[in-house]
Amino acid sequence: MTTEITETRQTKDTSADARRGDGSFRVIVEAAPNAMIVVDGNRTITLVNKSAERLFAYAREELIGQPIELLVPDRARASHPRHVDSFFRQPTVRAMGAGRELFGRRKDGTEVPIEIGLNPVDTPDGPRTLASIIDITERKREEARFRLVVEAAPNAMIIVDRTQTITLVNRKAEDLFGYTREELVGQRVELLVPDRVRQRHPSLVDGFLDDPQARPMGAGRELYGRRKDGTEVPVEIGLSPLEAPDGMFMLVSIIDITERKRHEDELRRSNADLEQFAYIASHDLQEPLRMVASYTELLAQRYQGKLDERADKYIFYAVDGAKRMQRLVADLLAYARVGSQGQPLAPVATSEVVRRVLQLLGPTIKRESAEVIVESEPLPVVMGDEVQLQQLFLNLLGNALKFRRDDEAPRVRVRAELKDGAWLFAIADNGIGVDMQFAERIFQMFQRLHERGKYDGSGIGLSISKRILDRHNGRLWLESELGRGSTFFFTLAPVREVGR
Amino acid sequence: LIPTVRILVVEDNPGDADLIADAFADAQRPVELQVLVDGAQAVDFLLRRPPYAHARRPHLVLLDLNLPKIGGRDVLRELKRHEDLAHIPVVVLTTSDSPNDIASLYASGASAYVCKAVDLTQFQRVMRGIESFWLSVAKLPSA
Repeated sequence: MTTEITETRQTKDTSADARRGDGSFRVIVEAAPNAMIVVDGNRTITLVNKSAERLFAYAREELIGQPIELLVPDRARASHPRHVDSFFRQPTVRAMGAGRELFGRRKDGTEVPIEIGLNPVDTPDGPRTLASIIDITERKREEARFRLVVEAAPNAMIIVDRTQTITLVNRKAEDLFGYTREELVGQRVELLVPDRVRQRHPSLVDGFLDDPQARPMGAGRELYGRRKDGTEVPVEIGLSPLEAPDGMFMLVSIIDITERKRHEDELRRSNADLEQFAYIASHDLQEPLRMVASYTELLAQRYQGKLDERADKYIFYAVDGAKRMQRLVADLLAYARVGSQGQPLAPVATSEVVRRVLQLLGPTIKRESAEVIVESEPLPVVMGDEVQLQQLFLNLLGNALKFRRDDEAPRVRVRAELKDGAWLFAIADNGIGVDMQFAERIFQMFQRLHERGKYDGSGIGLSISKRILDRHNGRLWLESELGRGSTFFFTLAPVREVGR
Repeated sequence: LIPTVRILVVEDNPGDADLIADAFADAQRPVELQVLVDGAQAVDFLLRRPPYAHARRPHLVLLDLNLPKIGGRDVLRELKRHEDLAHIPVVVLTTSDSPNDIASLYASGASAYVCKAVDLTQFQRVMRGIESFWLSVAKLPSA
């Protein structure tokens, strides 16, 4: 339509054409779905369509011949003629009142939010301005509703546009960052990013915009926001793309995790204290315990069978108790050492570790006529603490050999596969198996499923294994069937390529 | 007649000292054990300071590391500093199995580093090992 009108303007000397144009022009205006109003150089309304009548609730006759200011709210009425004049001096197709919110005034005095497009038109009667008006009440309502939702959100929320400029913030965001919304809207989002990240932040945002999917920001990294006063606050950030008619936006949802971090720190400290306590206690208990164990045993060596039967029994209980206690204390110490004596994680060839463990278990394997098959050769190189991984394999392979069925020689299979970005190890045996209702219990410290004597051990091996894997950010679980065998699974991180 | 071997045991835990004594009680050679309970006594004894002015030099020292007053490491260093004592073999007895300890003690002149076994039978085996090596396999310097 605009094109046709422009053409009309270019051919204004040919009045016959112009007249014909004028006729079709009226038809087009009348048929337009938007409200349309034509105004002349004196700001007098010369033409309105049906939609305009409906929008402003005036009849056509009430509008034609009236100044356009009839439809302008009181507060804008005084300055309006100036705007119209300037448009007539420089007539170009454009949106009216760029950036400002526009309202139309209805006959009953109520106002309606509108968007206005202006087109210069030449008619046989002289230059005119065609105003095309859209009622944006519904859109405004939607926007208001959206703003209310954002405002009412329990988290701090910020909306950022494609140019990384903040377009909306809520009350919680003001509270979190210490800025008012006036100070934030229109600013680049780096304002809220700590100095050390500020420089590379825009490219991170671009990365998100290239592949806009709802996701947590900075997976695995600790994130901080920068407050107005320069202090930093630990945060968790969720990013969601918002596809709006006027382009793509990011909805950034920010949670202040100061409290959570404080609790985590406290927990970590208290765990470390507990670990230290367990270490000192078990370490210092060893010495006096060694005395008790040594001397009860010396008693046994020297006096067993030389006193009466009761004395022999007493000595036996004392020796047995002392030995069990020694074992518990030693295991407790081993458990405490997982945390306190751990080495930094480095690439470890698990093939080599398993080879050494099988060497250590050699006598057992021979005694039990067992078969241990490594199915994935070579086993992968993983990030780990070599000493602890050896302990882990020793525990798990040792268990696989220990909890054997009476009627079948132990057969143990070891394999590893890369799954979901981690090495998944499986150690499968054909042993006595575990009733899965006890599956959780066997990982707890000093929990045993069998009476003492049938199977050796204090019941700490799996707790230590689990703890070792905790330290490696790995998981340990089992699948088992009573009487058929168990498979223990665990995960370890692969070695990342340098520079990644 | 087989000459008596004099062994100085520096051990503050009387329980351990008795276990050592017990283990050497039925040694192949006659053994004379002198037990001292702290590092200061040990240094005085070795340097023949009062009240040990007439002490006879030991052929072998069994040295615990955790000692009151002067620690085992310092006793070892002191002994190796004196020309007329430096030749005496020192067997370090300890509960620690830290690799750093082991290396540094050998570097300071320890002749052997032996862990006190937790288990009695094991402990007795270790003592018998010390006895059979130092009292019959190895030739000790005359005191």
